Amino acid sequence: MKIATYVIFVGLMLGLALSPDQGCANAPLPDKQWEAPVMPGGTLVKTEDTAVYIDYEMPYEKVLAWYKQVLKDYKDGKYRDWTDQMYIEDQGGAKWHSIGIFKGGGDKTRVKIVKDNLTWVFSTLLIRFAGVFVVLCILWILLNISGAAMKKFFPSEEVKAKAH
Amino acid sequence: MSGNEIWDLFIGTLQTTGFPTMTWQHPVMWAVGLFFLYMAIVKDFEPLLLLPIGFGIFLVNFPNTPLFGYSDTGHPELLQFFYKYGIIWEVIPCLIFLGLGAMTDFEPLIANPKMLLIGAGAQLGVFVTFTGTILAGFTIKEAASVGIIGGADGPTTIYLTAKLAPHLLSANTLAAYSYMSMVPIIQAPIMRFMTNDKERLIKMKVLRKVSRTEKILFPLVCGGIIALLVPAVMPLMGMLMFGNLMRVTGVVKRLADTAANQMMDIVTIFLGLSVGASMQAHVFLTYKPMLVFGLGLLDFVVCTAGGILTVKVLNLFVKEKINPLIGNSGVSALPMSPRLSQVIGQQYDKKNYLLMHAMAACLAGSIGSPAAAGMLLSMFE
Repeated sequence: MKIATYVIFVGLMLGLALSPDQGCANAPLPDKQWEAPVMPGGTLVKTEDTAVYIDYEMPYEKVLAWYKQVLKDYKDGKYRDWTDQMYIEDQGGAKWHSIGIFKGGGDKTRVKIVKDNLTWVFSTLLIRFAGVFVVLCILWILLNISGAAMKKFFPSEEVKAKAH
Repeated sequence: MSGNEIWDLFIGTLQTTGFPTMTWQHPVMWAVGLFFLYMAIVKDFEPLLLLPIGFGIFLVNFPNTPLFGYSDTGHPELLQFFYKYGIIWEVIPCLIFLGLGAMTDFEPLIANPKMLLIGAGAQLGVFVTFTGTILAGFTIKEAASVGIIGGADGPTTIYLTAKLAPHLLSANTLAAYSYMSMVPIIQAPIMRFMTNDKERLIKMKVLRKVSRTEKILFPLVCGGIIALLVPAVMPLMGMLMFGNLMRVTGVVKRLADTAANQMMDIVTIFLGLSVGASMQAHVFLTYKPMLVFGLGLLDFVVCTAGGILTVKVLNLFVKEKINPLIGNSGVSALPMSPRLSQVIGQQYDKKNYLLMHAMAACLAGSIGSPAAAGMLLSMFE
């Protein structure tokens, strides 16, 4: 009995260890993921609740050209050319938030499609609200400094009169 | 000429009038236009803007009027011309900021720069409403343009909306200016609700005198900081600071006077008419513009609360306490909000003069609101 339990436990652990992360390596590719176009010819390597990862045996430029062609009429897609990826962000009302096409893989390219999510909205807003404080805080500090400098180097008529 | 020919002639003439293409939406929009005219003429609510806006709405909502479209040869018709080159090209909001700069004395803010934090805190509603607007089904760009309404800064609202969601321009502009004119109705209950008697009686020190050199430095320092940190909004802030520089140096008095008076008046006429003209029935009578008014109100309320909360938080750290009744002025509704702070403050203590402190908070709001707009704009650049 003990051996059987042991075998089942080890088997379960092995199964878990060998299974792909949240399942679906080599699963068939859908035409669209959260309404975002999916380039055919790739391998779905990882699926999460809010993102999918697809690998292609082709250079970055080819994958990018395909996405640019497919999205050419989509006006709300914003392209951001980052160091490691071309980040296509949806600024409209689509169900996807971004398509990241990763660079630097030679003849291999990874594409990450992210579902539209409120986490992104909340975090970007929080950062930007804090940003307003930062801008005005810097202005506050500089006004204090310039005010103090003014008082020191250009004393008002009142102060001059008192000094005399 | 036979009877049939006369009848055909009559029908042909009738076809050139507005009657055959009239829909139920047209009279609805006349009513909207007349409502704004009523508010401006009878109630004296923001007449400088509501009068041209109201008349613009009234004018363009007659079928077949060659006012807001394009001619057969492709050139814009009269009001479309104002709208295209004034608003879509973002010229008018920037010119208004130039005029505002020439009209504004930043002395209270320079004398008490910690008020800048109130201007930042009062932008809370902008970001809260952004989220609410997205949940209501708007796109991110639309949400950003609706969010800025709470800053109660008309030109900034126009600037941001023209860039991000031009189809909401009329609704957003109207909401922004309507809530500005309703400051006493909206803000007073929030101010009373969020403060206690002890806080309302806080007296603030008389502000120090500010030298001419400091006043001249202000537009340079402020303009430089904004240009470095939120460059997206420099067309507005650059004009505001230039207008102010003309004013404080005193060496170009004629230019400053023109910017503050004649130019401002001319631009206001074109702004009002263009915004009103953009409120055509097929654009305005949809659910989104209707929702904008509700969301804008929420925005304004949260911004007011944000300003008051910021004062309360500041009071935990500063030696010289700030009266939270000036927190409402963190939105840039000048001069209505500071006036309200003064009126409510004096209801509790006749010898409490909050006006200049509230002015400082309001001026901070007039910088905070474009800064918030810049933060939102940078999301899309």
